[in-house]
Amino acid sequence: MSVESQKILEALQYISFAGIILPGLAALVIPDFRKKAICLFILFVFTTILSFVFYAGVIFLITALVFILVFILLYLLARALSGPEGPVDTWVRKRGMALKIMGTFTGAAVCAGLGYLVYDLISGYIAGVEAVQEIYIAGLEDIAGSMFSVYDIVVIFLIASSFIAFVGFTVFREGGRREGEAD
Amino acid sequence: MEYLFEIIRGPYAGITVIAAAVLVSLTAGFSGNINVKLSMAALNAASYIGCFYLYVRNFILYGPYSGFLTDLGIAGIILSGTVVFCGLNILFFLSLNRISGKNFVRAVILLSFSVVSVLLLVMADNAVLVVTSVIISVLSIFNLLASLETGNMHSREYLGKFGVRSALPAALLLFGFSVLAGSGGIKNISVYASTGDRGSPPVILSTCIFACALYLYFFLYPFQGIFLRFIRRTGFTSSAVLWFLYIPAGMVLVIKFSPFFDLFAGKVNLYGFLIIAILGSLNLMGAGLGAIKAASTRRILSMFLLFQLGTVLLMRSSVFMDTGPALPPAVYDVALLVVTLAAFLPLSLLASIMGRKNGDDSIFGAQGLIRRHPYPGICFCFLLIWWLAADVYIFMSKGLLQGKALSAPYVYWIILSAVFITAVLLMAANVIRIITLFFRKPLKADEVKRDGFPRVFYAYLTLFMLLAAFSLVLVAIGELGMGEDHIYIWGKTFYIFGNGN
Amino acid sequence: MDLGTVFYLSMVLFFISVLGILITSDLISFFISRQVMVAAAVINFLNFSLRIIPGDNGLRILMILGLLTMYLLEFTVLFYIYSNTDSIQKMAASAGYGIFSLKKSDWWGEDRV
Repeated sequence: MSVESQKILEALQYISFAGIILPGLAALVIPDFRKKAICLFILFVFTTILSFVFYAGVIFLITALVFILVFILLYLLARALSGPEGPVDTWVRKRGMALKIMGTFTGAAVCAGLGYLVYDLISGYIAGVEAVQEIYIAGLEDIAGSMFSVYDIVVIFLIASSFIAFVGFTVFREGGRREGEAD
Repeated sequence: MEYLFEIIRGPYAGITVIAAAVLVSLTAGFSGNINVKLSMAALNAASYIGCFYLYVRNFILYGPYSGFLTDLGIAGIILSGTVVFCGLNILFFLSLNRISGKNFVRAVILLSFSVVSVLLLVMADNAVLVVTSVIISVLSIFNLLASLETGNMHSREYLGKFGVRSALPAALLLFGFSVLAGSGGIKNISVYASTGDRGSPPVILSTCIFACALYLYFFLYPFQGIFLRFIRRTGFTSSAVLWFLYIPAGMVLVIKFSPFFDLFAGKVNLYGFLIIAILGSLNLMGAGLGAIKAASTRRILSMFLLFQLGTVLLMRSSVFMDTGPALPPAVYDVALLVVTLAAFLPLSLLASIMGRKNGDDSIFGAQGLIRRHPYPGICFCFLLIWWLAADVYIFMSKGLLQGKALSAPYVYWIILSAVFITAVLLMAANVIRIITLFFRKPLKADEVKRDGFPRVFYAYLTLFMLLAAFSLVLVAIGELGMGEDHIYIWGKTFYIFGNGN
Repeated sequence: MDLGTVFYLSMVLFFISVLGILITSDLISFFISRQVMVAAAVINFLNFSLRIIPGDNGLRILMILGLLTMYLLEFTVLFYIYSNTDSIQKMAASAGYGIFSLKKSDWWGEDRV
């Protein structure tokens, strides 16, 4: 690989990670539900870019197509829950900013402490791991070959569960419309 | 042809039978005809029995099965039998309470699929199958609960919260496996019991993540809020699904991840012991205290179940006391699970029937039970005392006082004994409170009805009573008990987690 | 970036998601925090499958099938909540998803339906 393409890849890595971490943090802070969902979508886009940087873009795209459906539903729900009065942030309204900031700092302190423990545990091991230098690009045909020969039971199970979930969806739609029986 | 032969002689044979029953149930349509409903219920019940029969038959003919995706030994057969038994009981409750409902056939289909998912989880060994079967188990149980709660306005909010919260452990499991990959790839889970890199940092870190995932899965203290509030608002059949399918699936997961949790064995670790002991005692005390003031039978039974899970957690803390070769705490997990099911299944049916008679599920509806219905009343008193005694027997004689733990430092002894004895006393107070209520005068003394319970209830209760009484007799005469990694039943020794059979 | 740096960045993402789960009490934030955790898992899978065990497809298949199953579960739960949003009050549908509950009724006594 040429030096220029290596530098491009490295720059892409930094941009992707920034694009993942910053929207992740923003999604916690922004009160509006719709804007939170948009931050999630930006995070997802940069995760897809990162998967290309790791030479596995095609693989991640398979799941990305399904994630789009989940995201659409999440966005519709965020819009339904937002309402005309604007963002519904009950925490702030009920308890005030001071408590929220205190809670955030406590949570951040706990996470920082845990993070330090994890770093202490694993830094020596990670430093000693020798990364493989040759690049292996996983092709869709290799993945599909393995999946449908060795993991065929899992694929059948997943397809069956999707079908059964559809049975559940018919119940959800009925339940939203009428009163029925209960114990 | 070979593929077909592999299915017939392998562990998938049983699951195929249930899957066939699900397909037939689908083709029956969402029928409202009572005869169709009864035949679908009978068909699915027969498929569960057939599934277990095939498991046992294939095990006897071909021995334990070990493949790329699955691993099924005698422990798996016992767990599969337990899961099938739970499925049969829930099907029975469903038929008793909801046969006239419009969603009955759909609920049966979803129940059978849930049982299939949990059975796959029991036999899963490869990480891919473990992750997918855990998530699909949660998914199918959620679907089943939603189908059972269609008419219930109170529970919709909390069912949604339950679904969102129960998906969090799945994300944690996925992240745990991603960290585990850093140890040089992901092997089958059973391999981690003996592999050389058990002590490597990615394995330790992923074990901690798996432990957090399981803790959240069970809604243990202090995360119990949504679970308790959901239980309070659901119907009895939904409560039974949570108690007797969701919780046992979690116990299967605990036993499956035992090779990871047992890697802390072999060395004495005070900090690890303290963390697990504190969490266990929080659950034991919280459940014991919470049940005292509770009036709802579903809430009380949920607290009892959380108490049971706290016992499992406290027993796991003994791993850090070990000064010799690793103990198999999973053996005691299986025993505690079986004891829980044996005691709580009839109790939940009583709660269901009393709730339908009285219109609410208050425990005070059972006041004077012994005076009105002596036989069920005495049976329930016996079952409650048997449950608590079995817990104490398993914990004290086998978890605490067995050989290797005796050489641990005194501080462990003081903490474990103090915690468990206090918790047992609290739970004994709860049991005495319920038994005293059974003996009191009924609330409406002038309206004592002799209509009784359905006859099938008496047969159901008698079955569990006989099982409990029989186990008591066998323990007393020394023909039933547990060694460190085996059980002995009537002169024969069965190694549950080894190849000594 | 080397293997260690990518792993530490994924752990940073994981702890951001843990922070989100600890402090949030609404549905959307909870869900997003979980998605951030899934993103961290994906980064780990991609990183280790490229750098440590390049020829092994098992990790990639675990990532694909695990994510597909996870999204199916999330879709089902969200669809249920969305289908019932007209009968659940908006406040109830958007709040109370916090992981800790310090309501007295969850610890002692009864909770009124």
